[in-house]
Amino acid sequence: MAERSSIPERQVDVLVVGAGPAGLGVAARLAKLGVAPLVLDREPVPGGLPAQCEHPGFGLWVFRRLMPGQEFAARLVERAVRAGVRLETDVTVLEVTPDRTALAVSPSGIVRYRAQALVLATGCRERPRSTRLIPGARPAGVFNTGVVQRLHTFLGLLPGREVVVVGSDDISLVAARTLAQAGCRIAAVVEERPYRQGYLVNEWWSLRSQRIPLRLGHRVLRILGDGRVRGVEVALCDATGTPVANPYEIPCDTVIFSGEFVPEATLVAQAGIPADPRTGGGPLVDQEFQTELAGIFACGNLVHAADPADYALMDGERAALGVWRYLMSPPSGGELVQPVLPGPQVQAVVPQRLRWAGERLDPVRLAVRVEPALRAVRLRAVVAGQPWGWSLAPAAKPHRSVYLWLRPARPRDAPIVVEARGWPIV
Amino acid sequence: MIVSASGSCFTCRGDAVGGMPEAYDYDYLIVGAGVIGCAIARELVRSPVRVGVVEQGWDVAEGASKANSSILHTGFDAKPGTREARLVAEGWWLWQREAPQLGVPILRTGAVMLALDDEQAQELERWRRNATENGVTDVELLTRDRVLALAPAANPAVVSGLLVPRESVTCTFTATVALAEQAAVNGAAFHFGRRVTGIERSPDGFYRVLTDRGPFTARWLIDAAGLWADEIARWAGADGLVITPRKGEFLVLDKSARAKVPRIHLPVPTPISKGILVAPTANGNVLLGPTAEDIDDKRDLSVTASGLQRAREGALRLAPALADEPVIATYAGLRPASPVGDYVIEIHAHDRLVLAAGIRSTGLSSALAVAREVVRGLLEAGEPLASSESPLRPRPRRSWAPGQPRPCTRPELVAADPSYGRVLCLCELVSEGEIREALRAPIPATTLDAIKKRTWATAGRCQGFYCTAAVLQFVSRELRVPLSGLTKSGPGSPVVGPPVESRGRRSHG
Ligand SMILES: Cc1cc2nc3c(=O)[nH]c(=O)nc-3n(C[C@H](O)[C@H](O)[C@H](O)COP(=O)(O)OP(=O)(O)OC[C@H]3O[C@@H](n4cnc5c(N)ncnc54)[C@H](O)[C@@H]3O)c2cc1C
Ligand SMILES: Cc1cc2nc3c(=O)[nH]c(=O)nc-3n(C[C@H](O)[C@H](O)[C@H](O)COP(=O)(O)OP(=O)(O)OC[C@H]3O[C@@H](n4cnc5c(N)ncnc54)[C@H](O)[C@@H]3O)c2cc1C
Repeated sequence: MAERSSIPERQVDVLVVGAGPAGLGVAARLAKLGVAPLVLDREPVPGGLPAQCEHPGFGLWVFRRLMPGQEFAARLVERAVRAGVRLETDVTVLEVTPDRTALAVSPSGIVRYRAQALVLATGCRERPRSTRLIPGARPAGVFNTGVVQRLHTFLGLLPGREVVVVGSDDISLVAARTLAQAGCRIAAVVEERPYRQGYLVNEWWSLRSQRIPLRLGHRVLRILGDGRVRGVEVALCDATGTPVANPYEIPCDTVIFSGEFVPEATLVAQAGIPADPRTGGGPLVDQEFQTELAGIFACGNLVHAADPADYALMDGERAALGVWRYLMSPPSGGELVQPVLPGPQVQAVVPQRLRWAGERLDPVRLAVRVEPALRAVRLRAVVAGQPWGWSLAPAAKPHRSVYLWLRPARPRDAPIVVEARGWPIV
Repeated sequence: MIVSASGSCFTCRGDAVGGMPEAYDYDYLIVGAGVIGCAIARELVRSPVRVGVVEQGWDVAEGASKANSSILHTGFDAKPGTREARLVAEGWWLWQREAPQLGVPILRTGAVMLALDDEQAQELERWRRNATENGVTDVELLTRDRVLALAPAANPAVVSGLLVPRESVTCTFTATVALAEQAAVNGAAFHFGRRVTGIERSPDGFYRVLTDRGPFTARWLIDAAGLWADEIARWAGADGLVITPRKGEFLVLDKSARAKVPRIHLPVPTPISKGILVAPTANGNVLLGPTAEDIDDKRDLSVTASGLQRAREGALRLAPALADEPVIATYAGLRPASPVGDYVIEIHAHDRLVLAAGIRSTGLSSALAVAREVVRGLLEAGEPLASSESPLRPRPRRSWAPGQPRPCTRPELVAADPSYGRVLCLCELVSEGEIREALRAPIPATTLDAIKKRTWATAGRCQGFYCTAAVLQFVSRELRVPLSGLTKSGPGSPVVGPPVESRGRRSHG
């Protein structure tokens, strides 16, 4: 990228890219451990995605009550700054390298940082309409939820007047509610799968209270409109996506493609950090969120998109311990690395490997994505045919992690396979 | 030349020259600001004549010139002896000469035509001869091993290939904008957002060109209206031209795919189409497509499930290794096809009418030559025009063109102007600085699509997830227009809706 010679260099102990819950979580905890990290974020306002959300869906685990995203973000920022974290906004990281440098640009210039440890916490994004290969015209009025949230929170604007939301995970449901309350008419929430992806309480809270219809098993066949969206053609479809009933048109001026998050892994890919296609390109990490490249860590939605903000924060705090340990005693090599593999009905597991420094391992939480959606779920981790941990959940859906704890144990030189059992939700 | 938000032209030349009121607005009025119309305008302003361009869209390159493969063809596969074959060949050389001063990227990647079975392998020899006949003598038959060395992602089933070393990649947006801007700084007046709705002749032979927002008068009419060239020609009194739309659908792959595609991969052509190809883009992506489907509706730019599937399958037949590369965008373009099977370039001296039509699938490559051909015809018709070598004032420099390092990576630029350090579009690394340049250019961007064509803002892998709001806010501030006044592609395409109702804002949560 830019010529190295003319660019000023700065040494830092720990550089964190991204000031969302994950990045702030790492930084605050490290500061308490006596390391003062530098956090860079390209947005003018720190706090990551929650800083763009006004709805009260954040903080239940960490602060023991639900609060608006902006309040949650502000609290995390305040906590970090009070702990001694340096935070710079309006700084875009252009490139990171395997030897832990980061090239960053801001209105005050270009700087290359050299860090002892580098933490990537760049979050995730939704898949746009084009990536989903949705046919039809390409008029104005097609959005992702993230864009709509920003228009709403930062610019005080609605995306349009008559809205169709495509997707029914919790983020989509909340977005429909927020827009309905702000003055939009939500013509429908359309979901391709035959079941709702979000929680039932959320359906009641977000949709039924606003009398918003939910069309399950429906696909968008076509977007209509010249200058601006005029409607969408939808149809009830079978599992292969073939219409089983006559297509019909829902008039609207706005379509929001919601959910289907993918990691914002641009820096990861460019630096050649090994990634996991099963998570959509997030880096492979161990239980302390260290990537395959020594001293480079990754956490939050970058490694599992998109789980609740509290989890991103907790990831960050866990990663901080890893960073701290790395700074105290860089790896000597020779430690045992145990792969964690997805088994039957499991799409992805994070972390993807366990790294044993000594004889013992602290308890490890595995974030598991199932496929297909299951009811009455039993997750099991198995090593060489022997169970090592299990958990139960009433239901698990592919877009949201379910968790499994591994108890402390002695290392074994065989992969861990995580499997899910349950009744498919249809 | 400068178009205000309402679309009226407030710095047109041609109101009065030398204090004498003029009887007409333009010596030459060009209908259509595609690559052909813009190239003709640029060629004409070498002479001291008044040139106007009228365009129904709100920017240049809103027709076929917006949605094509951006390949600079040598003409190796054109039908020998046709005007197309001659003008594509000439156009290629003219672009080599003009591109640097215009700031238009050309990547001389070369193309490899892949024969996937023995039957196709036999065809290659025919295409080699065809190329030689068209003066493209540097083509070369390739063994399977050489094909795989030159095109590592090519289908392993490949039998042999044909290398066309000069086939190149350019950028249709940058090319069309650059031609238009150079025409504009040399005096051409562009009128956007005005659709020609009828054409009248006055008794003294001048044209009165009616538009949905008032008429223009002109001595000559130049029809470069792409798909609608037949309608314009008919109104101008020239019957017989028929233009039909042939749709081509594309998929754009993320930049991760680019390293696998060092060259253009071509299939062995069929009688109806050059076929579905795999090509690098000047901006570092990879293009799959286009399909070729004759349709009825000249406004149907929709992408279809079947079209995208055919484009993908066709491309993956050439390069199966691209199967897992993420798609970031899809689009469709319409070729202005004529049953003649060749370009229709006609100078009707008596009627002072020029047709530059039916320029179906190679017009980007040939544009500079088509413009010269038109001027040659006008000279023959006795028009006192300057030679094609008379100098033009340069187009103002931009800090970036596709394929070049972004300003935000250049310390000296960021130091000189901090707005180059404020990155709005994370995927394409577009800063405020580039967007400001686009807004203040000789042909100013007035829509989000226009900004996208010039800067790539919102055109990367997230397709605007991160930057849409920031770009809107910046443009609104720079142009001092409310957010609700910003459009995607002109009136009728507002990007955002009304303000949040204050009642709603307070009550939730
Ligand atoms: C619409 C919506 C609603 C949601 N609602 C809820 C909810 O109700 N409850 C809940 O718990 N969770 C919710 N979430 C999920 C929650 O926002 C995420 O879990 C959380 O933000 C993840 O934190 P993170 O730190 O991993 O990433 P983010 O919060 O996305 O932070 C990443 C940060 O990295 C920065 N960054 C990225 N690339 C660069 C770069 N190259 N240079 C500099 N900076 C960079 C970004 O600017 C951003 O600030 C919602 C998400 C969305 C999109
Ligand atoms: C799928 C596809 C792939 C292609 N690939 C290549 C390639 O790789 N290389 C190459 O060299 N060429 C390629 N081409 C061909 C190339 O795009 C065309 O030849 C070229 O763009 C034609 O330019 P034009 O100016 O004639 O037409 P257009 O770009 O269509 O311009 C005509 C303009 O006239 C305007 N207009 C029409 N009617 C009116 C009216 N009544 N009033 C006002 N304005 C009007 C339209 O709005 C339009 O902007 C491809 C074309 C397609 C569709």
